[in-house]
Amino acid sequence: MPPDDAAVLTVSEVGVRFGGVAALNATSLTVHSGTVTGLIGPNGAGKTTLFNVISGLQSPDRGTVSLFDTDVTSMRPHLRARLGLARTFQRLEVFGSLTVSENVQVGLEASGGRWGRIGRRAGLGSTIESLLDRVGLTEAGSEQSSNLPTGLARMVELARALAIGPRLLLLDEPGSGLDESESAALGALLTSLAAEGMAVLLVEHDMELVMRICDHIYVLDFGDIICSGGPDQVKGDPRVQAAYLGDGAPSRGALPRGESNGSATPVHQIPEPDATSTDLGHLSTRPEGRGR
Amino acid sequence: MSNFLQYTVFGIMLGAGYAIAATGLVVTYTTSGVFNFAQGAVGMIAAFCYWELVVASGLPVLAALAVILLVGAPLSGLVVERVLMRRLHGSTAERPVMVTLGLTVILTGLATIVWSPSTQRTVESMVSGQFGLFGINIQYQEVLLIGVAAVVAVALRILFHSTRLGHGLRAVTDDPQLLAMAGASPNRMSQYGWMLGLALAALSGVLLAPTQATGISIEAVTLLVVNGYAAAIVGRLRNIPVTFAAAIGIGLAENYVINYLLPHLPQNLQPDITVALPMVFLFIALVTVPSVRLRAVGRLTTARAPRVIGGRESLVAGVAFFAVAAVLGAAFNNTPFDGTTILSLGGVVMSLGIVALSLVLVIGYSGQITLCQFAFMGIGAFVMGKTAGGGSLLGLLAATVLCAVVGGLIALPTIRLRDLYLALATFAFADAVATGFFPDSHVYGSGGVSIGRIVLPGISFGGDASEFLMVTFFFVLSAWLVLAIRRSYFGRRLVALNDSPAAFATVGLNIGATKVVVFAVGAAMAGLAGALYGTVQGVVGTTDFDFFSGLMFVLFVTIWSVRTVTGAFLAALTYVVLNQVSPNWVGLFAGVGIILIGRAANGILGIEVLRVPLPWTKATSETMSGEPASLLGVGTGGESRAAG
Repeated sequence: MPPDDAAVLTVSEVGVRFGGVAALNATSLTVHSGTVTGLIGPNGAGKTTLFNVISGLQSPDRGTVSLFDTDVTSMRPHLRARLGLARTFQRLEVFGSLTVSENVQVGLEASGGRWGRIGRRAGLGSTIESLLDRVGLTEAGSEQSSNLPTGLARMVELARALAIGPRLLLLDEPGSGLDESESAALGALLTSLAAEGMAVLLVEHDMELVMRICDHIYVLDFGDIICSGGPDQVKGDPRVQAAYLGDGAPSRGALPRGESNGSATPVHQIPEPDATSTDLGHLSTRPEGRGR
Repeated sequence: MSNFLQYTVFGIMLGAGYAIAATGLVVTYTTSGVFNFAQGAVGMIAAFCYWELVVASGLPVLAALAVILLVGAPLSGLVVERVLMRRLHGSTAERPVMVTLGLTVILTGLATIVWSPSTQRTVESMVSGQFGLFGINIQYQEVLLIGVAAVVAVALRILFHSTRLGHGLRAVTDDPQLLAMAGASPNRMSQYGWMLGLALAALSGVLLAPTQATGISIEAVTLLVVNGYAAAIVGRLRNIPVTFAAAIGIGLAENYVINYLLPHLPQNLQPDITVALPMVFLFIALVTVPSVRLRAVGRLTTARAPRVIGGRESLVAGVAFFAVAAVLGAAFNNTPFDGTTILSLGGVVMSLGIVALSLVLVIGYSGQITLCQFAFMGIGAFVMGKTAGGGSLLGLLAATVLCAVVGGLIALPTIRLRDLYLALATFAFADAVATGFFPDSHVYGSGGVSIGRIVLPGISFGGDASEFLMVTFFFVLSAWLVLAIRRSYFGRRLVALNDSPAAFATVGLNIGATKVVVFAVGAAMAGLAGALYGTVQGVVGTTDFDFFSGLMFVLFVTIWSVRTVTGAFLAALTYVVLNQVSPNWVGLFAGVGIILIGRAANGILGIEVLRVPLPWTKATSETMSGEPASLLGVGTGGESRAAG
């Protein structure tokens, strides 16, 4: 990455414990504008916990988080959002009773400031439409968003996140629930967002997607960053092979179970993409994603 | 000194009684995730059954205890879990609250029918006699109560931490699916939890009954057990030892306050403070609860959202509604009916309708559970009566504004609380106001307050029809306002807050500010409704804004549909009509209603077969509220897996 890029996010030495279990140990990472940064690791590695710390849903036991050169470690979530941080969730958090358009509209109105929305009303409809177009939801605007299949609901979250006009976007498994062409479209969208200057931090199990679009990748395991670097560097790192990717070649996370050959590597514990709201797909002995 | 010891012993004994009730709450909550508001009412029923069996029928004490604690209470727990609770797993927070509150009002209503409050019923101590120690007299009953509480505490500790069943019981709230995979049935565990929880409620009721020297009263025993709520909150609804210690502390604090602090306060405030004390403790306990941590829970709203009514449609419907009311007003002007007049009853319907609309806004849209709208109503009526000699438009304004301020102030300390705790805080506020503030001789006292009728120069509101139409006008205005809010930026915010607080905050919206505003607007509406209610009734008193009536009314709105304006109106209408016919009908409706709440997420009006498509309604293709499972079936992920 270009050295002159300012860091939009700096996480330093963040630690979080749930009871006796350490979800994160002194984790540090940096995200620069205009790049897509990957955050990968097996289930329960602490990825979602780190997202919660960055967005303010979880306060760290130690360490600091700084966004756009401001220390936000003890700042409330909505104030961080107003600085230009947006995120999506691994377990769906759409505004289910609202239509798809209204979800996006709430995002737009939230960022419009207290009175700003009045001036923007004229262009509101077209802004919503263009955001929905961008994530491939052109037809779905008037649907109640809880009626959408998981993959599309994730796109509603993405459109809503984009609506607030973020400078840093945190995406928690946006690709799960998408088929191959949708996933390719997602990759193209993220690349173009980065090209526009946005910083994207991506948690994703679809290795093919991660390796293709990320400029920089951090690998998290048991609350520690075990490796970081460009895609090729990470792919070749023996620690990553051992902890995460197993012996074979990197495989697509959304591979059907039958093709995974029943091997016991952690990658195969990835929940089926459609299991998000049944809860069963997320059973894990580690605290991540269980929320307590 | 001996006084101090005496108070201390009595305080520990009361605390032991609260502790038993409180641990029952914790047991039910940990196993089923439901906070049983009816714990107090169950204890009350048990106390009255004990009186019935022992005093009226002459059964031996042990036999009566066996019937109540080993048969009656567990059986009730079984039925309650199976019929009312089972379908509420994973539902929105307000439904379990409404069901258990409904149980409270139904049980207290039934008790009033069976055990007429005019009879005095004194329950003797189970073990008579006393002994002297350090110069004070200790009743054997007191020793018994403390001993039983200690045994319960130890037994529960062993059950939860050293038995397989106990581990299953504790695991069920943490993760029902995980438990199911481990071979235990979450439903079975939840059933055991309810049986045990209600048995403990009954035990506390039976043991506390003899402490009521002047005889047991329905309200007093119910609220006595409510003291356990505060203890359970201090124990975070999980920790039995902490709950136990807190209960003893509350018993002691109560006795010290009554015996040491109260005599120094003005004479006329003393009875008010005494009855409001449990709720004050509950409020204090809630303040100690740590701030809610926003959690991304991944809950999907599965129920179909009610249609958003357009501006034109709401205007047309409002005008039509008012026109019908005007015709009725002309037809029934000054028509006497059953000791009142038809239009006076109509005015009551409209003013309660405004309260119901405030519930649509606060509970239906924003998902914040408020149980204190009747308290705001009472405050509004009082302000109306005291402003400019009563019966003035200025009074209406004052009632509305003051209630908005009070509502905002109530919301401030509670914005950090999550849904259930917020419900408890408003519950405490409602009861403290209804039992401690309204009966004060400076407020309503025993005689009530004359509110006066609004007379406008030129247009007389002294008559029957014109007054009815004025209240109807305000109802229509409020309905239009609520619908306009739903269409607005603020309305989308409220619904978004209800659907996902985590996403709400992370798009940059302020949860606390939103809650305070919606609470204030809701309180203002209830205050306006109270002032109007006062002008319709002429004179109002404490019974008009009774605590249990307030709970019953929220229940009515939930049963019809807390998310629609139509539901609000029908709730007010049925509530007034059924009350006029007989209170028993109110209870019956509530009884059927709470069974329904578990089965229809949006109340009666949300049931698809009853939905009549209106000519201008856009036809929608979806069927009745899809379960998550059916949603997943059409997911693209599901398809790709099927293809693989």
